[in-house]
Amino acid sequence: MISFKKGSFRIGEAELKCKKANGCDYYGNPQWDGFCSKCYKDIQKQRRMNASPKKVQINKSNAKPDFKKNGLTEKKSKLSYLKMFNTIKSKDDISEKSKKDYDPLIAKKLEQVDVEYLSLLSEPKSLRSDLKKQIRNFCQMMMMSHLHSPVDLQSELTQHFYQNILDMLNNNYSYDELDHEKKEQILDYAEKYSMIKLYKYLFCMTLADEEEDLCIQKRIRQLNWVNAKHLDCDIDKTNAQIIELVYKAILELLDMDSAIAPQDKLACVVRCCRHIFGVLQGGNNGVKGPASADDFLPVLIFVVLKANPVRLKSNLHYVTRFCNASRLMSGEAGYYFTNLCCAVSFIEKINAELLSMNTEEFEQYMNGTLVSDTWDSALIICEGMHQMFEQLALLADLKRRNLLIVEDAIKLKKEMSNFKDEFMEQFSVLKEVYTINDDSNQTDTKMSVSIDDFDPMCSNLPPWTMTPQIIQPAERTHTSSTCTDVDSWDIHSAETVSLHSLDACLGMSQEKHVVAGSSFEHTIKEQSHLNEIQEISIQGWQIPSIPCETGGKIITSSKSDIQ
Amino acid sequence: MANRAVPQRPNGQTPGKICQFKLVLLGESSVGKSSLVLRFVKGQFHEYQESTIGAAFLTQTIHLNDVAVKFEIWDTAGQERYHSLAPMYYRGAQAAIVVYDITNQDTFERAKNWVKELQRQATPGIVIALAGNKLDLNTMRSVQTDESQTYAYENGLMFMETSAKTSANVTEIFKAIAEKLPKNENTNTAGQGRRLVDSAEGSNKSLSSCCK
Ligand SMILES: Nc1nc2c(ncn2[C@@H]2O[C@H](COP(=O)(O)OP(=O)(O)O)[C@@H](O)[C@H]2O)c(=O)[nH]1
Ligand SMILES: [Mg+2]
Ligand SMILES: [Zn+2]
Repeated sequence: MISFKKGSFRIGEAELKCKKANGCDYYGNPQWDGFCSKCYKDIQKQRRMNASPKKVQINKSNAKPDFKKNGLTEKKSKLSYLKMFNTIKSKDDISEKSKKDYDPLIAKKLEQVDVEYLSLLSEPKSLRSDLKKQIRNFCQMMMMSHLHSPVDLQSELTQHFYQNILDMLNNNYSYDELDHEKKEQILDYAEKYSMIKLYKYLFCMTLADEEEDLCIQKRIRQLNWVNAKHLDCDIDKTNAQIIELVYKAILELLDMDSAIAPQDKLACVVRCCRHIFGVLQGGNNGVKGPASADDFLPVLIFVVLKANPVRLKSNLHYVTRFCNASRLMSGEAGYYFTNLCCAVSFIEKINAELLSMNTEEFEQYMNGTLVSDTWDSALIICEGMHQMFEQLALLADLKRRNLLIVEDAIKLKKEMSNFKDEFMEQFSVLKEVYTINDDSNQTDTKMSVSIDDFDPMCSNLPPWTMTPQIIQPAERTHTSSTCTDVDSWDIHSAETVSLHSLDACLGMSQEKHVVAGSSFEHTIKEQSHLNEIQEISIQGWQIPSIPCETGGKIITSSKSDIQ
Repeated sequence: MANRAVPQRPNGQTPGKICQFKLVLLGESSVGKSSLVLRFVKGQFHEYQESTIGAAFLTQTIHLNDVAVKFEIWDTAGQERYHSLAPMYYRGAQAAIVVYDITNQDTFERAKNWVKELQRQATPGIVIALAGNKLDLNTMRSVQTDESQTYAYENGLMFMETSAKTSANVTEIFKAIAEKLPKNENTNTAGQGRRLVDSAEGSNKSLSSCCK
């Protein structure tokens, strides 16, 4: 059945909203301490103003140069821009900043990336340090600039950085040994590492991005009535396997938001699309031929509509801007990503004509007067919800059972201590008996009288030996009478308990002769029975012999204890 | 922009120059775009073909003398309702095949519109080929060869009549495109760090410098 991957559960809307007190309507982002970018920037600005007002002044005055005139001026301005960064950054500033920005989660992710690429970067020796230096410089520059440079420039700088790495690998003679694939992977590493590090500065950084996110989210919610038929999708809703593939595609798409590096987000898209091809081929044992774009795009649109991923546009923009451009222009991943962009673009454009229905009908659907098909379109999601609830129920059941186990364990513990107490009691009786017995070589009658005094019910019991078999049922009744919740677990534990008692009894009879030696008499005479008993119980039920009559008392005393 | 290369072939042969191109398929629904590309990709050159689960994105390599030309073929959704999305597909494409059905005059008119759009909006210098498909249905022809030939000549297009069914001219048209594409020596820097990733799962990645 469908498995919810970690991190793919969706969060309530309220939790996603900006944290600002007077109800800002934008989405917040953990990267911005739960604020939206605008509020976060305001706060940051304020902080910066307080910290170093002069620097902000410099940056502000140069904040928006026009970089898009022609190649030459573009390069020039970029260069001057870079110089500007160099002049404004002082070492203190950076180290202070990086300390403040330290995020254990990101640090852990970076560590993972380092481990993943460890062997790749080991040869040649200079590679790691060269790469690290480039990455560090790039990251520092981006961190310095993220608040006041336009996002297009940041994107350009990033692409430039990728190009620089590639140039370094291609032109430096020490890297001649590396083959193309290695170089690719090294580039991958640089991209992954720097993007994870810079994620909170680069993802969803403009107000426009957020507006678009909200807009598309609202739009998709409005279009919740659109079903597979409207889109001419070929989805066999009666096939469980197909339905599962649709769910998987939806989950992969939802997962895109939790991936950090651009290539990881891209990988989510690729996995989503592969599931869609699975759908089109009719599941694992599909008989249909290879699906073409005509079949593929409608299903992708359907999946996007049903998934309604959070921060969809921000994610698309982030990948477009900061993923190595070549990856998006070509290759399977590029193709799928382009299709996703197309699907989103189509959703933004959807109108009556595009769905081949008349305008009135479309309007009625959009303003909610016509809802007949909602069930149809929601079916798939309902099923998902249904499964989720099933799994939640399963979890609840497991939790309940776990509680029962804990409860039983506590009970068992209590019973064991009771058992011990009883033995202490027995022991004191026993001691008395022994004391009597010691003297009773002369007076037999005295002993029987004393037992009768303690236990009037003794007459009901078999007059003969107290053996383990007699203790066992006594323990059983004990357990079941204390347990109020009777279910399978209780039965189980009851059995365990009685097994314990059985063991104990067996132990008793085995140890009988061993313990009943002279040392035993000795301890009784020393009157240190309490310590002795504790020791006995710890030693694992090495219980001294019990004469038959006192043995009978175990049953009755335990019964009266409970009552 | 011929910029990427595949490093090693499965059989371990040292590769010559390998250039990669993005090619989009355009044309009305049912003219045979998918059939054409399937015929081209599945019909031959099995040795280098990557496994695909759909016919929407396919790759195929052609050998021209010492150069291996790898086509990355992007199928586009042909339905009328998706026409406005086409620019996203042909962005960055180095070649396009505009397909029409020789038995259907409307599809030819539609093809002309595609050509116009490509010439106006696509990458400058994009190689455009016009393919009159379903040549095997010659008896039902409604678009005359002369007409298309003249149109293609006037607009600087390559032109061939093809049949996905009989595979007539299928490889030929791709080969002709491959020949016409610039296999420039110095496209490396122009590529702006472009590289390709064959699959996002990291199976088989390649790097530029075919043209190095
Ligand atoms: N007779 C004939 N039929 C073809 C040819 N090419 C495609 N078809 C048929 O035309 C229909 C549409 O083809 P398809 O490749 O799906 O067109 P697309 O929508 O442009 O991708 C299918 O039924 C094909 O069998 C051809 O060369 N000759
Ligand atoms: Mg097709
Ligand atoms: Zn806010």
